[in-house]
Amino acid sequence: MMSERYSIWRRHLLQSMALAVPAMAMRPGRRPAMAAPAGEGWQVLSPTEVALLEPLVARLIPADNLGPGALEAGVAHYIDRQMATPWAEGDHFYAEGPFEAGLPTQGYQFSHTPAALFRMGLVRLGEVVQQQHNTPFQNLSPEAQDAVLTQLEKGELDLSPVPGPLFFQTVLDLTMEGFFADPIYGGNRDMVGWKLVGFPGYYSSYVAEIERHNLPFTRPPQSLADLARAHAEDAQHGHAPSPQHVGHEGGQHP
Amino acid sequence: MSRTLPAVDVVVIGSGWTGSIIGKELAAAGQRVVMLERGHAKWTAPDYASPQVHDELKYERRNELHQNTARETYTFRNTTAQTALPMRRWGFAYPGNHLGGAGAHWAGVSYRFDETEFRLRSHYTERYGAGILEGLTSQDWPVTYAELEPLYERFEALAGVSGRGGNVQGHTPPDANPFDPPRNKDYPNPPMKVPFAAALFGEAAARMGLHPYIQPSSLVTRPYTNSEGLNMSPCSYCGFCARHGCEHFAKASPNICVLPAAMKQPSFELRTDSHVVRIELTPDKKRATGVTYVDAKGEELFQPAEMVFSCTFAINNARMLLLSGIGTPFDPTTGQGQVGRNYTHQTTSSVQLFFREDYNLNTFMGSGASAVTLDDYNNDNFDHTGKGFIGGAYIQIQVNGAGPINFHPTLPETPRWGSAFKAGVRRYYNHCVNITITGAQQSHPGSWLSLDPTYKDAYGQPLLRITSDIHDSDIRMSRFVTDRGVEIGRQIRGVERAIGNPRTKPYTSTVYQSTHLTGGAIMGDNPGNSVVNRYGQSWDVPNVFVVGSSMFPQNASYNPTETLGALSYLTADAVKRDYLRAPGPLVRT
Repeated sequence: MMSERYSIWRRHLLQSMALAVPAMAMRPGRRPAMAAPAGEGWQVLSPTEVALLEPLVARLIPADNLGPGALEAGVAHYIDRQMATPWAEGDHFYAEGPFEAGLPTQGYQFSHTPAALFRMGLVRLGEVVQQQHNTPFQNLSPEAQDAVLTQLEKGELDLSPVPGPLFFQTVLDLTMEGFFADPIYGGNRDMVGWKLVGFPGYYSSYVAEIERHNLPFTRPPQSLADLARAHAEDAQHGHAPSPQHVGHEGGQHP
Repeated sequence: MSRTLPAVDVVVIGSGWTGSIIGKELAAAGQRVVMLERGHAKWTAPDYASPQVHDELKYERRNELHQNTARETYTFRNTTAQTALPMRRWGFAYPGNHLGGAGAHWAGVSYRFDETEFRLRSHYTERYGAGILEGLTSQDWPVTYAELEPLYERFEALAGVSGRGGNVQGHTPPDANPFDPPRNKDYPNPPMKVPFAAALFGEAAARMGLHPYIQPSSLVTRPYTNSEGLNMSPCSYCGFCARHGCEHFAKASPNICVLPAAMKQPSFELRTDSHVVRIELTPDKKRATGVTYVDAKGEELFQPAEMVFSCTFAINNARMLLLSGIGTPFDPTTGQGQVGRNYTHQTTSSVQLFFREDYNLNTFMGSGASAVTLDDYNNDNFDHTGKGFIGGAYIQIQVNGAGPINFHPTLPETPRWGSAFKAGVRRYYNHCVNITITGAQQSHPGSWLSLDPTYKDAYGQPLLRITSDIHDSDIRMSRFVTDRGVEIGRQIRGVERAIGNPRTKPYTSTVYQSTHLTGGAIMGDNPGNSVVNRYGQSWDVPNVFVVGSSMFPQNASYNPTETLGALSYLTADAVKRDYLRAPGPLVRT
């Protein structure tokens, strides 16, 4: 099944790339590739895709003196796993034609599912960078990579049939999701996204804290997996689930 | 060819607040009721269990509980000159799906409408002259606030609403809303706790001589047994509320407040995964014979019934009528026909506030309705002379749980990515909050609903087409009230910058503006100005009742749930009292 889906996708992709048909004439299959994945820990993205995606997300949220970035947070892995979900295949996407360009107030009017848009955009970005710089994106300096991404964001790179700014926004949205979503989805490793901004994750009650105004909230964040583990341990020991209160640090008005 | 099922007295389409209230009331009166819900049977336990329900990605990004656009969506255009195109994924609103409908994933905000809302056209004409309504088709309701007052009280007892009445038999406590409409009784539960940011808003507003108060909410604030004998538990301010189900039995929903009582009635039956495709009529189109629906297996079934209640999500009621051939579709070129007329949404705007770093706002704590609000610039609580608009908006800081996927604020000049973004979001995530401004939206001939000529749903039926732009009256209103919001924002302690974002034209399908879609099957006092009478009864097919926010002739600033709950009781009472004895039109013209 995996190889059949892969070949359907691959056939389509090669065709559309070769002919460069306009976006709205295309009608990609609902099931994107299950490519031979990049290796251990990768579900659908190919080695080529991973080689481009990892440095890309690393520029969107870089590792710096404030801590780990998107690469270290596992955002590329998050995106890989999202590409294997029904959502990426369009299970919440109205995919009936006809497809027309539409107006800005009418929103997304391409036929591509989230996976199709993402993977076609990635392929085209790789090709365009190779053409323009005579080397793959991952071999550019960070400054040159930033310059490419700025061009992409501003619509100055032609990724036809994928609109460049739309692809940029898609990758940016996925990167924010991967950096800030619960670690169960494969990104936000060690909750680095939450630690950066001070989001505590999931405490089931703040009833004792909500009116402790200006409380400096210093408790470590909790993920869904942490809480599920706590529930399981409670059940194992015959206890009622632990209340997930956050303690009694004092608050004060500045 | 559909299979015919055994006949029943009542079919209710949809399990949201309106359908659940009506279904339970009629079953308790001995009627054999079948409720058809297109979504799955999702119950608080186990479907909204902790900790899994605290998942921002699943519920707030992947639309877990919303109408699935892959199966059914709306098409949209601003004007008749454009071609409507489908909303391929959600932006402007989150229509409900699954058991409890939008009532399972709402925020719990619980307002009564202002007295002036029910006689909108008369009120503004009397006070300012008819010119102020030029270009608008907003109209009076066929029911008054005084008639709905005891029914609001019933809904509040059902939902366990928390708040402090600002006009309880003439008494106005100093921290309550002096603009409240008159009430016979105070709310069943005391007001919610106040998060830091909302308290700062209240402090500044009070200093400015305005009238802040704690927003009424259907998140209960103490253990509560509701009017159906069902238990609710206090809200824990967990921060995962709107768009999520509530695992705490704290946020009122049909699932915990009504449906268990309905299902205790031997004559009540709930069928989920049952998608109604149309209401069937006799050949003369004077009477409904039942509904045709498709079950989870894909089998088409005909459910005969003596009465049909269309209680679908909001404007989907208009679609159900159009698909069923009930009433005359609105024609904007002639102004004839009523079905689809007066579609409205909500005129929302915001003021973004950036705080000093020593103000820990902790907006990840909160609930869908934890807010301090003021109505000084709402309804006709201020002089509209010379302002070029009617109505207004409420201004508030609401702290409803700031998940970082959707909320990662930076200053507007900060790049959206890179190290500068990272430093910006680190600086402002816990030191930024919005003043939200929620305004009325007036009806006008350029804003209406019809069946789309091109695009179909998963069942091969035409999608509902929205043609709409916001009237200049509301654009002026938004500018005026947003400016007031900026003034307040600048007075809030700790605020370094306040940036107003008033609503602008054109109306767009891409930006969330509330899930309060209204109109399309509006109520009125005669068939020449409405689709249904005050009881939601179709003027054309009197054994069809169409209940919900689809009945609102225009949208008030306030959130719709309490009012559509009160209207559900109005309908149920009239059917039990009058219709069952003598089936036929409940209002004669």
